[in-house]
Amino acid sequence: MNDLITKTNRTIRTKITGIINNFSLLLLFFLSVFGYFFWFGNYILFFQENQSLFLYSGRYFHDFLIKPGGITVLSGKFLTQFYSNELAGSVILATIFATLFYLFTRLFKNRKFSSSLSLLLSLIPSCLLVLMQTHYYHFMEVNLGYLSVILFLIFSIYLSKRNAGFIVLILFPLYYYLTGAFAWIFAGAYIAYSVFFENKKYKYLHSFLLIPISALIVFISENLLFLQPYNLLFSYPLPAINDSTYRILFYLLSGYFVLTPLISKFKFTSKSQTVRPLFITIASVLVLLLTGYLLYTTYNIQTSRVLKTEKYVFEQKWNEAIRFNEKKSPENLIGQYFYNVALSETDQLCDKLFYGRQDFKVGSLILPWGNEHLGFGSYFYYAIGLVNEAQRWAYEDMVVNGQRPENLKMLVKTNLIDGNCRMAKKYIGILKKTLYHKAWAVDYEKMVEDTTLINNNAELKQKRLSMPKGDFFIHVNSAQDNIPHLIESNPNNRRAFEYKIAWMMLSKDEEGVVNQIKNLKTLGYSRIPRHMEEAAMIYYNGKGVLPDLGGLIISNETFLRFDQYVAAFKSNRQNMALAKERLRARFGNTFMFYYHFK
Amino acid sequence: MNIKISLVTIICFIFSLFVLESCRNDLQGNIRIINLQPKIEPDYADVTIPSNIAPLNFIIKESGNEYQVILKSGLSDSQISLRSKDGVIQFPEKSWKKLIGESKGDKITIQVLSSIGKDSINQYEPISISVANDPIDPYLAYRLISPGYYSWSDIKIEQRSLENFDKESVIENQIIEKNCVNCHSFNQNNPDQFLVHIRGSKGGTYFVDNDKITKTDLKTDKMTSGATYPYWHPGGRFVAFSSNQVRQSFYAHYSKSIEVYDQSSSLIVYDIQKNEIVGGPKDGSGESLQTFPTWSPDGKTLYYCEAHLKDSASQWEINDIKKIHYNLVKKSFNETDVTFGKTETVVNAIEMQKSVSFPRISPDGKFLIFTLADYGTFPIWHKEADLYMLDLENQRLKKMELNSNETDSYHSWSSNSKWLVFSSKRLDGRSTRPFIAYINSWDQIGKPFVLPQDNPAYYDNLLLSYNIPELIKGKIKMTPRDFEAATKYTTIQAKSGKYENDLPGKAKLPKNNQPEIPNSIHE
Repeated sequence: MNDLITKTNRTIRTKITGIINNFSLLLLFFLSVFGYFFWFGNYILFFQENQSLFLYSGRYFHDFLIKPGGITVLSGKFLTQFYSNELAGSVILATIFATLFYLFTRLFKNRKFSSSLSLLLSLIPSCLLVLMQTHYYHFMEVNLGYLSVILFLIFSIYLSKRNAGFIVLILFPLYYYLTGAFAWIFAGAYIAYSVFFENKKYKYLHSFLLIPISALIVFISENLLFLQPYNLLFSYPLPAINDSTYRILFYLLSGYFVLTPLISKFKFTSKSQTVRPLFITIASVLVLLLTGYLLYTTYNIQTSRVLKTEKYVFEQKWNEAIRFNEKKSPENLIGQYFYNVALSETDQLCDKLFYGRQDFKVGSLILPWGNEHLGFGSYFYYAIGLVNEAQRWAYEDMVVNGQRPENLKMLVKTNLIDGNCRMAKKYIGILKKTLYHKAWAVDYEKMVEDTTLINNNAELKQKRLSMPKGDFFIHVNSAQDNIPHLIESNPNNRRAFEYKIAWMMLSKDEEGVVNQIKNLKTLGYSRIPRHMEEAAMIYYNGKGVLPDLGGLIISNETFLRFDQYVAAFKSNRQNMALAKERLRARFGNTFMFYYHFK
Repeated sequence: MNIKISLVTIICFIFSLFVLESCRNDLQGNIRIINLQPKIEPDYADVTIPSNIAPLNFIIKESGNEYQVILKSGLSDSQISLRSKDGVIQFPEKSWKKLIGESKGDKITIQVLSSIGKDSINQYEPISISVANDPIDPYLAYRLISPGYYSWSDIKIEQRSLENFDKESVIENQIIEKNCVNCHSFNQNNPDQFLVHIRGSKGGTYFVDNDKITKTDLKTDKMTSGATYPYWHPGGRFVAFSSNQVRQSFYAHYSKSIEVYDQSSSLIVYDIQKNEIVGGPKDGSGESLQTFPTWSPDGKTLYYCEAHLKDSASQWEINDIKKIHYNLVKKSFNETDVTFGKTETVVNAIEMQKSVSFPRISPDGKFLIFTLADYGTFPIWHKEADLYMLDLENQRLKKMELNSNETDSYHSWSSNSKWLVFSSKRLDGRSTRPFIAYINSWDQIGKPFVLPQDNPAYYDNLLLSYNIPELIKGKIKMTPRDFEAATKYTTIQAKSGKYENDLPGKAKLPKNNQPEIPNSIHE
């Protein structure tokens, strides 16, 4: 009796310990994933939330319902909208991955694996999916797709055990409609299960039937049900990311799903009972360490900096964008372009242009026309008051890339500035159907109802005043040629003027720069912008005489800084490479340094 | 027992009151007469409609807690009464059809009442709608596109029944590798004989003849650009095209968006039977831009737009474009030997400092309607563009009453010459919507109405434009999958036939720095 009680207690304790261990690992996994995306990978949340909108409207839903897999994508977009809040987004991601982890443990436990082995085997696909998520084009629908595969697989195994496997075949078309091409991953897993686990009688029957059913579904979908291209009926919404590392992870994970029944078939011999726990623990730790290592190595600091800058710009937090770039300047063209836009919007372009990196010369001032730049190019035009052109870029972005928060907001603002309130109202109407952008839309809607409020809005008023008074055709291929036309049409446009100066500075045309100093007072400047002073000092150093300053003076600070620069330059001139490094620390944020060393 | 019976009786009585109340269509309260018509959207007040049109659903834009609308026939006792809490009025199709069928040649009236507060009802001046005796062609075909610039995404050609709200895609570019689809053109409103251009990897001109689709390449070695704007010869053997090198520029000033113009353009005639480009009606009198061909209903005259250019040393700036004015001209055509007569000016737009586009002659040969803008050849982006009517018998010319303050442009006739559908931006200044007007005679032109939709708020949310609306006599039988299959057919290369001239007319303007647009966004 006592032995029985002791044995029972031991069993209960083992079970409780097992549950605690399972829960601990699950919790640890959840918190790790949450922590990663909340503190490090949050740029992915920002990026993905800005790629599309989730609209609460029947017409929006309709577009997803008319193709296989659309419901999975729709669900993904529903969850993605919450990425506006980093905490919510991180919780959602962690929950999804932890759910996958948990479902795999259920699947393996049903095969009577020990808890620790189940945990290890469940950790692998979960970690693979987390690694895939670090690619910023890996959207939520892919996670949901994989989740649906494991769910449907568990359900199918449940049915098969009760001799109701034929229901799987009946439900498969519905599953295909719901998840699209993820159905093929399920089909592979289910065929593997049937081959290795079904009764002899049904061993090949279900797999034999599932293949022609799949072919029939595609045939019927194409010819009768859905007006979709043939290749999309096969592949949508599987990810189509052109990145070799990502593709390897995708094939590994999908292969893992398909081979899960085979893995389940694997039995450890009783001989290894004593060795197994140690092996499994070491293996689990290795998987976690490897995942952590890969997360660390794949973390793209440049991408995170660019997207951080982008976030500040989209939120019009210009000073934050500037401060961030000066501290952690991105080496990427878009990051440096946005830094320049932020400087322009705060009238500091000619004061602080070289406080951030300028690795692309004039290329970081104006982005060339092209699909890859559609989401960004409008900001330059908007900054200098070429509102029509900003509207065009935003519109093209909407047509090519779909409705996104930023292109719609740009369309609202530019149409209000133009006075086309009817169109502004349409775009506002779209944003009002969202969760996180509705408040912004309601705010701007007031200006549609009362157009006198447009001039009360400082930003919109400033843009109206900056617009060209006359007309000209936009130079699409040589966008910098628009600036002189704009200045001619609206001579008081200071931001256009500063872009012109910035262009000359980045082209090292210091004479062109100093020739403009005499016009500054007319334009309302009470002092010479810092980099223009530096250009004047370079000119003075070369010609021995200051240029026409138009009644303004060079500040003592600039005189001093230039003298210090000259002295430092002279003392290091024997080794220019060394000079560059030594001067960078003190003078890297000056036009002189750019002029001599970039 | 008695109490039980009483309770049951009371419950039944209350229930019957409720049911009775629900069945009554009239708003109850003190009526206040408002001597104004109610504001409704779309605006259908005083329009003229055909008897076979789908219900003109609308939204009442007056304040109120509840609304009642009573639709009455002028010729019979038929009426439809509806109530609505939110002002959205959607007429039942069967009842609508019956009522307007009984009102042919007369009017229907729409009485609108709105309930304000507990017992107060506003009764507005009735809206009247004339019902013409002449029916309209039962289908409308059009292209749906984003009214944009360079880029495109989803494009489709759709056909919509005008008698109800059914619509179907004819071509969807999402299943043909997102190629551009444009310039659908029907022979005499015939849905079984038409052509359409597809540009891109599946490029070609696709001719539909009953259940057969032929894929052709109309660009021969002698042509600098492909065939663009088409118009069928009524005999069905020939199609006149313009061959255009199109360029596009964008305005910096907010008052305009886009200017589309031809660097060169000339006319060609394609002989379907012989698969030959048989040349165009060039005079050889100098460099000119020729575009928008249209045949007279008897096929003996070809009308088109022509601009003569002066020398210009400047680049393609705004002032150069503003100097481009197209006249409306014509030439006689001999079908037997495929020759043309001398050029005659029909409308001298240059003298008016204006420019003609899209000439279209009514099938009965009486009237020619064209678009007139300040300059250029792409009036859909010109706010000032309006429709003008030319009486071909009496040579009278007038600006039509149906114009608005926004762009009014591309138009086509119904097969019975009584209805005109045209593209107008009057609703939001940006997106074109198809408007339909009754053309009974020179003096009797009905107020136009926008294509009705089941959901009257449909246009409020729609960002796409209706492009090239064409009335057709029946339903197009081809489906998007038929066209997808046709894109895999072998392309038939058109031959160069009798081609009297060299390349299609080249403008003397210097080479344009603007990139060539991919013919994707023509409206």
